[in-house]
Amino acid sequence: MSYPTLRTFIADEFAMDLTPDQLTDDLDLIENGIIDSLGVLKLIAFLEGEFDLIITPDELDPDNYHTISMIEDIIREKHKTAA
Amino acid sequence: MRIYPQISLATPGDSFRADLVQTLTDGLSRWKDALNAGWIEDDQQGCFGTGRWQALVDAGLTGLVTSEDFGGMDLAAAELAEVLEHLGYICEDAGLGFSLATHLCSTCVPLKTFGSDALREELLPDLVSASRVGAHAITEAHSGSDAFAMKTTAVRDGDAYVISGDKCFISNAPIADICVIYARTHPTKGALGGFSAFAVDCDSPGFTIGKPRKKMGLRTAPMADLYLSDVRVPASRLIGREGQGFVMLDAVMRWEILCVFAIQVGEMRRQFEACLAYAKERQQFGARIGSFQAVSHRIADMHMRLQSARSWLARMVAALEGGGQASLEFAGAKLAISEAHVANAMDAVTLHGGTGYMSETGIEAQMRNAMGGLIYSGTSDIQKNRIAAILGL
Repeated sequence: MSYPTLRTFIADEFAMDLTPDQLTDDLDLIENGIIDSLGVLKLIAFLEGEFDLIITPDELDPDNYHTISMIEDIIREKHKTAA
Repeated sequence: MRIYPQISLATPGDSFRADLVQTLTDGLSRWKDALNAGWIEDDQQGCFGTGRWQALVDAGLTGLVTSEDFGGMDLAAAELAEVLEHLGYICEDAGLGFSLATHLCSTCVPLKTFGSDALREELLPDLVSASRVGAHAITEAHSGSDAFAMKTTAVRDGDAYVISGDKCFISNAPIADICVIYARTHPTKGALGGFSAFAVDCDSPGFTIGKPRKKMGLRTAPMADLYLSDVRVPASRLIGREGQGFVMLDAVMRWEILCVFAIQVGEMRRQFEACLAYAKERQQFGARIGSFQAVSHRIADMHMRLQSARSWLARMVAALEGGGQASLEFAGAKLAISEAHVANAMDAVTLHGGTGYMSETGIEAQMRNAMGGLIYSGTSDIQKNRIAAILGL
């Protein structure tokens, strides 16, 4: 399952300088410095609100947020745990 | 004098240790004279109160957040907030409380939460006993609110990191023995993943502490700049993992805001009660000044701001104990309490007239001290940015 609203959110909020082709599922958002400190807040607030999940401070590990694919994995895992 | 019973900050279902909190607050009250001795003179001269600090240590406050394994008490958020609020209530030296909060949150919190077992065993007992004092260094001359624009670097070299860069406005720096230095460890990564934190001995070769800085308020809380020139730090002093600096600072800031502003709510309560008593006692034009509507409305405004501030404190405690991100509550609480404190402090000076303007009473110092709250731990403007971001704007 993919989450198109996640891609749209990241494109609109953080990647306005990138073309849709450049914003691939595997583009490294961390390595390329695309998400700044305020962006992290926005991303977490978006994930919690849009997908009805809670991300604890302990789960805010940079290693989990490198790419859109990895963030989608978090959403799937959270929903699976909650089910 | 207490005007109304304080509602406990404990949240339903938590394991609030009321007896322990009572013991600590009763104990603190016994240290009241020692905690206040000479603070007005020290504030005027910009001196750290060594004797008052020792009273805090003797009262056990430097061990509030550290686990029992290392000699501390490992207070939960509600317990910590109640104890620190009481400290603010009885201790008029706001700089002393600020130094304590810095000590607890800069080093004890990240070591407890992210540090390796070996690092905790090495440093936490001394931080609990305060035989070593803690500080942390984030801000640089060109990166204040934009903290992760920092230029200080930490480069891996064998079994060590080499740290270079300048830090400014570092609270506790003139008295610190251990400083947690935030530095860039990756050339291109952003806030998430690009930064790391290190527990650095302040007497390391290449580590220079600048002259104490003079400031508007909190003058008894010493501050200086730091200059790090190829400071070699063992890799074992990396706190957590490389790249965890943002996550760590986010956690540290929550505890810092909780501790600093719990103390401030206590200060606001003491200030309010003094103002209310003064309004009832002071006579002008043949009547108590509190009978004049201009004064009574000022007191009513102060009361409302105090109650609002404490409600935000309670929201912050509940959010911290709830375990979620809770960034909205923390940004809101920091903004609301700091601005309420400044407004009340200005009202307190105005209410006391010429007496409030005189340094010898300490009333004007409360206003100067409160102003800092609009700036440190993220300015009011930054908190509004955070709130707006979380609201999806």
